[in-house]
Amino acid sequence: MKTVTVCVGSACHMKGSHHVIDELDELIRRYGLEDDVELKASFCMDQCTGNIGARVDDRQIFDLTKDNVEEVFRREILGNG
Amino acid sequence: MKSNSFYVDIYSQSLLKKGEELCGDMVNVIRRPDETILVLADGMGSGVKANILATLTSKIISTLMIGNAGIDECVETISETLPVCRERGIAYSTFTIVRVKNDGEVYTAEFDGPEFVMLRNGVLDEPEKKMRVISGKEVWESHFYAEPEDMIVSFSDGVIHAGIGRLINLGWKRVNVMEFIQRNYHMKMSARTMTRDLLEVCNHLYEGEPGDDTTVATVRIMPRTTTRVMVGPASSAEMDHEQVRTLMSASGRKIVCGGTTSQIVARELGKKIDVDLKYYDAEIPPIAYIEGVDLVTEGILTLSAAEKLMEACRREYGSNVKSEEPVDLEKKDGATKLVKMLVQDCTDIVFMMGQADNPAHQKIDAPINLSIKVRIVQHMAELLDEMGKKSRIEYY
Repeated sequence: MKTVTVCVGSACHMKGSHHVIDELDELIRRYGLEDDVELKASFCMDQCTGNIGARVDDRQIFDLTKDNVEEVFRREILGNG
Repeated sequence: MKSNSFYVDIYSQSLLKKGEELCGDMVNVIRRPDETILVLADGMGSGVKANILATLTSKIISTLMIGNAGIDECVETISETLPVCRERGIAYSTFTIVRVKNDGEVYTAEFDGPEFVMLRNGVLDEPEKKMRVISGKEVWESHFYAEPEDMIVSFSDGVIHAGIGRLINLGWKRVNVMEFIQRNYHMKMSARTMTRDLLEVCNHLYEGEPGDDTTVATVRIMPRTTTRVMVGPASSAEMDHEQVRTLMSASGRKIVCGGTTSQIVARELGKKIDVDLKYYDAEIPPIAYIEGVDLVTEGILTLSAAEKLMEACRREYGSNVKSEEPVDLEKKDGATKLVKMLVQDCTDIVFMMGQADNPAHQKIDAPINLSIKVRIVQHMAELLDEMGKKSRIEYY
């Protein structure tokens, strides 16, 4: 079981976290991982100045943007990036 | 009851007679430091003539009552002032006056319109009324003391006539209106909800084509409570503890606006913060939940959307004739929830404005900074004051 947390604070919202959550949700379904991956939202993760704040379990992800969701998902969740 | 212990929540709305552009019913609300006065007038006929009669009647009564004139002087002045209809040879408008002092003393006067319907503890209740003849007119008066959550629903005869010749042969009677009002009521229902629910039934009975101007004006007596809205982190982290303690001491709602701010509140309270995944509006970040706090939202984007909604509410509450679609306050996004809470459920509001330059907002390519947030909060406070509430801003 993995937990993916995406920041929905003001700054990340403007960078596209809404889109990211929709796409992650879609990917989790597409790969049938509803029972293995939990998607959560969070307010500020202190990553405002970088890309969209995100964590897989307790590990921070620094390169997530609204344009590379599937790439990050493959690497972090499927482990075959 | 001690003085200033009540706030009067008022909402009025009219359905226009089919084919008319002007409303022949007029509602005037006067808010003064020590009292609130509602006047509903229904002018004879419809269209321009009725509109002028109703406007004059409601304005004359309001203006004279501000000058502390009694009902006798109001009725005499109306009788002498209203233009006489050439066809009918009379000058005529009904009126209902509800005057509520801040300490809960209520005076009502009614002339010829349908009697208002009153609920106390959600149960139908009729204050004792006495009739006096003033300038040849039979005016019914009552004096009583309000209790918290008393609701007084006044309406024009268009409400009683709804359905005539259509769904119900003779329209629904006042007793049916009373039944509806009691059945529809739930504890702490807003004046807006009752007014709109009753009008919706009328519109349905008229099958969307009202045969008369149809107006409802609801008065709800609310006990004053202080709602606190924490916006933004304090300029110094040393103040966090005190700021959160003050927030939680509010006698009314406790609201937190801001992602970082809500994390501070959760930390100080030793509670968990759960952020909702769900977007009800793509433009507005999701809300969150902290045990003991009534509403937790993101900051600047939510506030900015809330400011626009509140401007629309201000216009909407300002007149019984609506020039635009009423605001949909049932939406589930953070901005709508915030506005609904402040406009419908609150009486006295304190914004606790933190003055930290939010590190979350630095280096972002967007027009976000503290001065914009302060400006939005100041404007929201002004709008709430214009709606008769008491608001102030504390800076931290």
